[in-house]
Amino acid sequence: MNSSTQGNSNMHNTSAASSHKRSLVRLSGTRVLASAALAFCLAGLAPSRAAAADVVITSENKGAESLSLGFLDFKCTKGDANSLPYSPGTVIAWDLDFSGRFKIKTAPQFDSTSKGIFKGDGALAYVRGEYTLEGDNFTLSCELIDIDTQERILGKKYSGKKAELRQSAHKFSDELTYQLFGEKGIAQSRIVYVNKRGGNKEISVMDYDGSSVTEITKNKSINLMPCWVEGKSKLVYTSYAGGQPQFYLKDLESGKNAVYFTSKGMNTSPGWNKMDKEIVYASTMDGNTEIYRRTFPDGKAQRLTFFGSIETSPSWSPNGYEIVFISDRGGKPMVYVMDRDGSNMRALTHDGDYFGSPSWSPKGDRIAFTTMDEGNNMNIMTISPDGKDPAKLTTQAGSNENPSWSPDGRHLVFMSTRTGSPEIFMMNADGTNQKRISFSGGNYMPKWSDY
Amino acid sequence: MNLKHWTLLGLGVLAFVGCAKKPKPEPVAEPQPPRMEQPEAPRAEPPKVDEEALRRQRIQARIAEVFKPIYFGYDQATLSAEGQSTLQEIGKLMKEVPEITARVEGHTDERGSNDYNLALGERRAKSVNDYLASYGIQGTRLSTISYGEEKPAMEGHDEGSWAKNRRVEFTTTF
Repeated sequence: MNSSTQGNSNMHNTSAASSHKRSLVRLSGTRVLASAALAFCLAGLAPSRAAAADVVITSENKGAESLSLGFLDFKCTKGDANSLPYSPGTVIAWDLDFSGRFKIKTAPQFDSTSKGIFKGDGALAYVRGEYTLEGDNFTLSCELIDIDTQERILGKKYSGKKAELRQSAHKFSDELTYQLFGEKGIAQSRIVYVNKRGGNKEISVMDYDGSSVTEITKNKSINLMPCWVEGKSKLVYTSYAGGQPQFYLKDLESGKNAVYFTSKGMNTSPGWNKMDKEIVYASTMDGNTEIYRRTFPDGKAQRLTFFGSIETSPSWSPNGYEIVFISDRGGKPMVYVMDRDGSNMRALTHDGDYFGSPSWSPKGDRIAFTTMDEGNNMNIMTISPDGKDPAKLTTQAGSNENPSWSPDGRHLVFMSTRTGSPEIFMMNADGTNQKRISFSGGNYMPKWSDY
Repeated sequence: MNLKHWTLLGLGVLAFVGCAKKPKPEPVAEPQPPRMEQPEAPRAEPPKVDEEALRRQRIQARIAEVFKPIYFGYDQATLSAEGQSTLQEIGKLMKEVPEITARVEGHTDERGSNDYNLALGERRAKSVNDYLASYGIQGTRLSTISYGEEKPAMEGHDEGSWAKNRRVEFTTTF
C-alpha cells in the first residue's frame, strides 16, 4: 500500500529503520505495536495480511476504545498559510477525532508542557507535520513520533497540486488508521446527496467531512436517491429530467452523464451489491411498485417480489446473499429480509406501525432503518439481522431519515430536520457523536461511498 | 398547452369580464341618454374561427372547474365519496370532449420515507387512473406519474398542510 500513488499527489516513505533498535513500542494499555514489523511495512515490502495483523494487537472491543495521540499544529514553512481556507493539520485532526479510534490532544509545539499533557492523557506518540505552498503546488510531510524516544514511528511525504492537498491530508489519516489498527480508514470517502437548489432538487457530492462540494446535476429538475456504484467512480440516481422518473448514470471519472436505462413506469431506490456487481431497485414496470435486480451495467431485470403491495427501499447484505427492504403487504410499511432470488421472506420488525429506509451495515452485523414516533417524526434505529437487540440511535427533535453506513460500518450518515431545514448529519454506529456536516439549507438522501 | 396556462388565461378573461361588468359610478348631474334613441350599429357576422375559439375557451373554463385535486387520508390511496364525485365530473367532461387527455400526478405529505412515499404517490395516481378507466375513459388518454413528497402544494409541517399535500393533481391537454 505504501507504494501506491493516486492522481498527481505522490507519496514517499521515510525510513523508520531506527525503530529496529526497539523491540516494542507500547502505545496503550491493550495495544502493542511491534515496531520491527511496522518498519517492515514502512519499507514498502508488501506485507501479507498476516504480517499486517502482527503489527496491531487486535482488541475484542475496538469500538469502545480509543488510542490517545498528541497532535502538534502543522507548520507552513514556505508560502502563505492564509492562502488556504484550512490547515492540513486541522483536516487530519478532524479525521482522527471523528473516526472514534483516536483521542486527540493538540498543542502548538512539543515541549515539556505539551509532553506532560500528552502523557497525562495516556498518549505515547504524537503527530507532527509541515507543509509548503508554492504557486499551484504543495508539499506535505507528516510524522508519528514516539514521545519518550523522539523516534519516528511513521513518516509520509506528499506533493502535488494545491487542490489535492486536502486529499493528501486525508490519505495520511487513513495511513495512520491502517498502520495502527490494521483496518482501512474512511477519510477519503465521499457523500452523495440531494440538494435543494433554486426550487429544484439536484445531486451533489462532498467529502465525508462536508468539504469540497461538487454539483453533479444541473438539470433544473427533480433528481433523487443517488447511489454509488463501482466504488467512488459512478452514481446511479432517479431523475425526472426526461419526464418520467428513470435511472441516470453519472461517470465521475469521464464526467459522462446519461440515461442509464428506461422501462415502463418509474425506477427508483437503487442499491449496489459490490460482491456481484448488481443493482437492486424498485420499479413499476409491471404496474405495481416491486423489487428487481439487474447485473450492472447491462443485465436483464429480474423481478423478486410479487405481492401487489408496495415493495421498495431495497438494500443488499454485504455478502450479496440477502436483501432487506420495505413492504406494506401487512397493511403498514415494515422491514423484511429475503434471499437474493426473492425466496425466504421474513419480517424483521413487528411492533410499531411505520418503518422505512433499511440499510445493511457493510460489516453485516446490523441493519439501520427508520421508525415513526408519536409526533410523526422518523428516528433511526439499528437491529441485528436476526431481529434481536434493537437500538434507537436518534431521539433529537425533528425527523431523522435516510441512514447510510460508512464503508467501515463504524458510522452512519443521515438527514435530520432538527435544526429546522433538512441537513446532513453523521454519528457513530451506536448513536454517539452526532455531527452536522452540511450547512447550505435543504440537503437530504445522503449515501456514503466506498473507501 | 397545459392546464395551468389555460387556467391563467381563463382567470385573465374572468378578471376582464369582471371589470367590465362593474357598474361605474355615474355623475349625478348628467342625465342618462335614452337608450332607444341610439342608432343601431351595423353588426358584422362573426367569423367561424372565433366560434371555435369561444368553444375552446368554454371547454378550458370547464376543465379548470372540473379537474380539481383529489385528496386522500394518511397512508391511504382509497377514494373518498367526495373524490369519487369529483372523478365522475371529470369522467363526464372527458367523455363529452374526447380531445382532453390527462396526466394523473400522485403526491404525498412529508411524513415517512421518500422511497415509500414515491410508491404511495404512484398508488394514489393509479387509484384515480383506474377509477377513470372504469368510468369508461380510454387508457391512452390517461398517464400516471408520482412525485411522492417531493412537490408539496403547501410547505407547512402541520395537519393542515399535510391534508392539502396528500393529493392527486391533473395536468390536462386539450
